[in-house]
Amino acid sequence: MKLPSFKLQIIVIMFILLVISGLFTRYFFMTQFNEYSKDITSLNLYDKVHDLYGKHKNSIDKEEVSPILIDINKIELTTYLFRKDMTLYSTLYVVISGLVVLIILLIFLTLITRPLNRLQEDTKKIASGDLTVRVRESRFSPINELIVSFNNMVDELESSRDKLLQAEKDMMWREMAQVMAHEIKNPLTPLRLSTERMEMKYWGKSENFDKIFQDSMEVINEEINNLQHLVKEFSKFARMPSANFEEYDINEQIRDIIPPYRGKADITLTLDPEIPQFFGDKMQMKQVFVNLIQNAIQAMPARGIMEITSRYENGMFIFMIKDSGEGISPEDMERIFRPYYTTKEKGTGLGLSIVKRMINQHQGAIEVDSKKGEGTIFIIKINLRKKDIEDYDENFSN
Amino acid sequence: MLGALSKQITSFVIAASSLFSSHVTPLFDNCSYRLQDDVLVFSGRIITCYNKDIEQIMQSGQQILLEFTYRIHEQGNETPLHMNSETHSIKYDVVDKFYTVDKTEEGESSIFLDFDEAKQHFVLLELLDIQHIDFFEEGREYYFVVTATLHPVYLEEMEKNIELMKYWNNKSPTYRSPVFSLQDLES
Repeated sequence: MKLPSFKLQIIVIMFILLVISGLFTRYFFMTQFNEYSKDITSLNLYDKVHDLYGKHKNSIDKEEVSPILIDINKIELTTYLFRKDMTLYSTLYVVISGLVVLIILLIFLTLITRPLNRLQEDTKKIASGDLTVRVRESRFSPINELIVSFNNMVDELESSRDKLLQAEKDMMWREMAQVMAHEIKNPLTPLRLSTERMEMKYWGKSENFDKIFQDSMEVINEEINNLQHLVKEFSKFARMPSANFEEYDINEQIRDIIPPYRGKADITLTLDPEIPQFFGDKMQMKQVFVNLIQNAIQAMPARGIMEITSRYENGMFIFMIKDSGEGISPEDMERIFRPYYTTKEKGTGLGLSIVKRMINQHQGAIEVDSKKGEGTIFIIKINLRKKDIEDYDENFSN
Repeated sequence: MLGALSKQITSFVIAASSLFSSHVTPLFDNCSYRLQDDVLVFSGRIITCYNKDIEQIMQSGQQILLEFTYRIHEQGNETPLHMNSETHSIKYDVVDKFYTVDKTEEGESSIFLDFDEAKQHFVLLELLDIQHIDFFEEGREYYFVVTATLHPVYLEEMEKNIELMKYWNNKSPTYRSPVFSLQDLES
């Protein structure tokens, strides 16, 4: 059962307390007055005087008794009327003061609960990553100081995040520059050796110059190709296009990707037939699956077993790509998603980094679990919905 | 404590409901007018005009005055052509325990031992002379209005005024006759 709002609870409790206290106050005064009224009535002054007149009718003049009896009646009448007025006014007092207090309470609680509700809503936005949000201040609210402090805290948080992002960016570029320098430096040595060797053999009029020229040119061309490949992959990574979201059958997409790889591994598909239409970028998701499948195949030099599953749980798409390869060591696990990190001889180190970026664009997450010698499992979780896409674009651009 | 609270809640509810029900709405009833000995006379009575408070004041020995005002208008004219009033009074004799009702239009007093009879007689108008037939002109149309007002009761020595009209919601009962002409009265 859902409890009523905080505001309503307070109003109901305060109103009940107020009514009870009002009734008790009224009870106290009315009881006192009723006692007083009863005392006057119980004196039976009218009857006593009238009886006295009846007994001494001959000796007492009617004109003398009459004003006394009228005055006694006046006292009883005014007591009666006053008691009636008291009942009426005390009731009015309870009703009016109850209403006044209720209105004051309502205003006061509104001044507290409205900013609190705003604070709650904006906290949710901030928690989802939007640090541009500021809670609107209410000058008359008793919790305005809290709002001001909260906004200051968000200012600080935003400033810290910007600094952190900048630092991360700087670090990444330094790392990339380092890796690029290293990657470019690697082919330079064989290039230099090849050209020096050709030069030396040429000036020495060597007899097997033709053979050496041919060998050296093969090395030079290979290294140029490597450099071209490196530059191409780097450009691809840097210029990743923005996502183009649409609804489609992702099971069908997985089934279409698999056939070229059947010759290299034993692939088992366990696809949930009840899975709803997936909302995402078709090209990017294809790239994600291809990269992960290629990685799995490369991890299993001897023909291994690969399992691909899809399922839908609690509004979330879950995909798993499991291989029976060598597995990843714990120290490598921490770095596999970093750009240019690779354990392969001819890898660029950009594949998993691209995969992670694409999953991020889908507001999803990718996890990896691996045991050396047993294999690796990549788990992708995506719960992107059509209506989230605007928030997504905003967040991603931020 | 709980008993006191429930008792208090009950009395509060009764008091709150009495806020809207302690007043009465007096009305003219059984009204008629006719020509009698060349005079236009009116008869009628006021009903639903008593509540416990008024009765209590009546029985305390204070004199209560009820003034009937009547105005004759020409049809279409709000300014009265003629206006007069008569007053009824009731007073309880606290020594000999009877009620005296005086009516200025009758010029005599009536004595009642029974309170209900006195009350009925107090608000009764019998053959009240409105105007002589000579007042009305041929070919003109008239109507008359009768209103009743309770005077406040002043408690001497206590210097307290009791506004009786508040028990009538400060609204005087009013009778407005249908429009008539001299010919209508004579027929």
